[in-house]
Amino acid sequence: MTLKIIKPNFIIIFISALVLLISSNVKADRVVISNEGSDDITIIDLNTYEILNTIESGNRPRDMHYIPGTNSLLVAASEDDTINVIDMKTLKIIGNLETGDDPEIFDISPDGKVAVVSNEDDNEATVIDIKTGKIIRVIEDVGIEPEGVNFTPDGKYVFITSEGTNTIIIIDPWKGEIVEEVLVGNRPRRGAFNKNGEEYWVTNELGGTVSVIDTNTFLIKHTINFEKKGIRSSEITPVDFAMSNNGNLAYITLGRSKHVAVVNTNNYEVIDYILAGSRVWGAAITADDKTLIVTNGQSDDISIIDTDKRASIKSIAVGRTPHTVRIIE
Amino acid sequence: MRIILLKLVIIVLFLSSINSLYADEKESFNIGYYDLEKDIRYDEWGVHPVDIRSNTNQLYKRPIAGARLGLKDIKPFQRMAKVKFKLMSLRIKNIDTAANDILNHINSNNIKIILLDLPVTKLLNVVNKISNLNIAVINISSKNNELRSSNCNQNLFHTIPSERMLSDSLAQYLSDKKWRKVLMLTGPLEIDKAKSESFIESAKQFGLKIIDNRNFLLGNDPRARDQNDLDFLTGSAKYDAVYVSDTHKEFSYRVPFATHIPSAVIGSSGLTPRAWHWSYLRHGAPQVHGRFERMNQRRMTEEDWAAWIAMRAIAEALVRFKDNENFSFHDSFVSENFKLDGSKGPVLSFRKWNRQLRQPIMLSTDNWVTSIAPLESFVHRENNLDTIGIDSKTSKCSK
Repeated sequence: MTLKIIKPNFIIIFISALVLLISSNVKADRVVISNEGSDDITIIDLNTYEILNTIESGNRPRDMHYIPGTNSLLVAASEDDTINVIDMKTLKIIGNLETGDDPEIFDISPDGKVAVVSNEDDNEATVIDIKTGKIIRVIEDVGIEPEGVNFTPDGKYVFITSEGTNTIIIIDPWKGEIVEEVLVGNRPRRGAFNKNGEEYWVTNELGGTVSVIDTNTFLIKHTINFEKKGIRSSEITPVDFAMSNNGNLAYITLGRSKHVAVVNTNNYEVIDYILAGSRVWGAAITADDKTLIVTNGQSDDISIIDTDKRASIKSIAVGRTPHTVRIIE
Repeated sequence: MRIILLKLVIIVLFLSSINSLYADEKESFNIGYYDLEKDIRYDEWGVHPVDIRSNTNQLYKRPIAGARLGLKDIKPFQRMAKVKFKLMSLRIKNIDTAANDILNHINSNNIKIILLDLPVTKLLNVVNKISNLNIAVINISSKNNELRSSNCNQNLFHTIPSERMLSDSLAQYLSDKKWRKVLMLTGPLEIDKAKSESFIESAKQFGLKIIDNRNFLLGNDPRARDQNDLDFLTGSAKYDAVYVSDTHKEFSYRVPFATHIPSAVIGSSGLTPRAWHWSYLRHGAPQVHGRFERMNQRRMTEEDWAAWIAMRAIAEALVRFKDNENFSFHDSFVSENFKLDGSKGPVLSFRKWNRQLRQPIMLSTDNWVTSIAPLESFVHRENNLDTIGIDSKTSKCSK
């Protein structure tokens, strides 16, 4: 008699636990892609690779950052001169941050309180209070067409790549000052810090190289070149990074060459080239370093790359001209 | 009181000395820019017939606007180049004294490098006159083929593409589309004829067939209708495309949709090859023409672009090579490590043999870039950009 009562209960608990597990997985592990041509965000299940939602954003969505504390996604809507705040539970735009003109790439301070955005057309960088959505200060004269923006891991400085001036401009966002300027290769697009923060890596899109800057001396300590049989040097146009979480590898998207380079961060050697799609730009990697996801701007899709096999295992059609990919785990 | 005053004077003196220290820190780097007051290229026609009735200032169309944007854009390079850029221009009134006027202007203003917006004949005079100064000259507007193939000068660089680069681009496009049979309509000016000759060379190279080359005349004279009536001009022939060379454009604007048989129109109207077109959306081009339009309230032309990129080339050479022993623009521009960003896609550089800036060409209608040359199917042994224009083997310049 007692057994009969316990048994169904046990099953119910088991099933509900399973449902909870699955549903929490669906909610937690997602891939978000901004499509700058179709003004929307594609949301994909990281485990099944199914498209869960396509949500409208502001016009020309480009860079994105997820803030775990508030479960919100910040999306730069370049043509609307704003950053959309999207609630990832309801998938609705719940607010906007002031940004100044044409925000493209931005970064969030390590404490999650402040965003710094590059204003390409005005040669400025704007510092924004995320909580109030208001501009704190504008830093002028950060080179022609500033693009990449990265907070140093300690949150003290911001490194900005200036496409038109071929330099990295290091600013103090708290004082609003330019601290230093470093000449790199042609058309620097994006940057990334290595794991211990002692190096800043920069893609030189037209130079076809990556410059590694020592963050203590602000000198270039190494330049990485890419060479692959069958690819002309003019097609090697590095743009974005995904740094592995274990700190050993850098994945660098090579634009027109349709490949992603795998670089050993300890000795700067290029280990491999992985075939992706047309004009491969954006990149993101999962927390376990097993899956790399890249956006292919000219084929309107993303490639899912198995980092053990170093090969694309799936491509998924998304919106028009996918720009940035982020993984929310 | 006296002591306080003295202190104040000392402080003021000290501050002003600091100021002058900072001011002297960067030496002035003077760039010369020369054009002609009377230049047929900026007269009357050229943009659209309606312009002659509008208030558009003719002088305002001049590409010095591009050089001014270039100056603004290279100002941030000053931090790295440790110089202060200055653009010093002179508009020459008397064509006969042009070469002397420019020589004097260079000498009295300590000018280090110059941009020339002159028609080909005047340009050569000037270049020869100042050739002893050993100063680099950047031609921003003459497309003349001879300047790149036989009539060269060691000091002369070109940022504007040659006619041959433009006609090769068209020929590649037609060849790629398999529109191989072309009827040519050539205008009355020498420069129209030169354009057509360049197209004939390109057609030969890329395997097009010229059905006929007919001369057109602007007018309504019924006795000359075989030369001024489009039905006659484009009749009794079978072709895939009609090529028009018409510098003044008044005639060529009438050709699209007016040919005797359905046909693509290329050259001076229809699909036109240009170094730059405002409608291009990729590779950072919208940022450049956005800056240009906000500054000048007009579209950016290819000559504007050529002047703009010339300024960028100067800054790039200074930033990268200034500290080299025996620095010269001549060597820096043709160095293996000289790479220029023209917001057109690939990295740009100067051809060693004729000092022409290698660059993609935009094949555009009036409001859209339809294609970019070199087209993907044309491959060169060293640099695909060299599939358009006068190659090292045919240019006599390096010999």
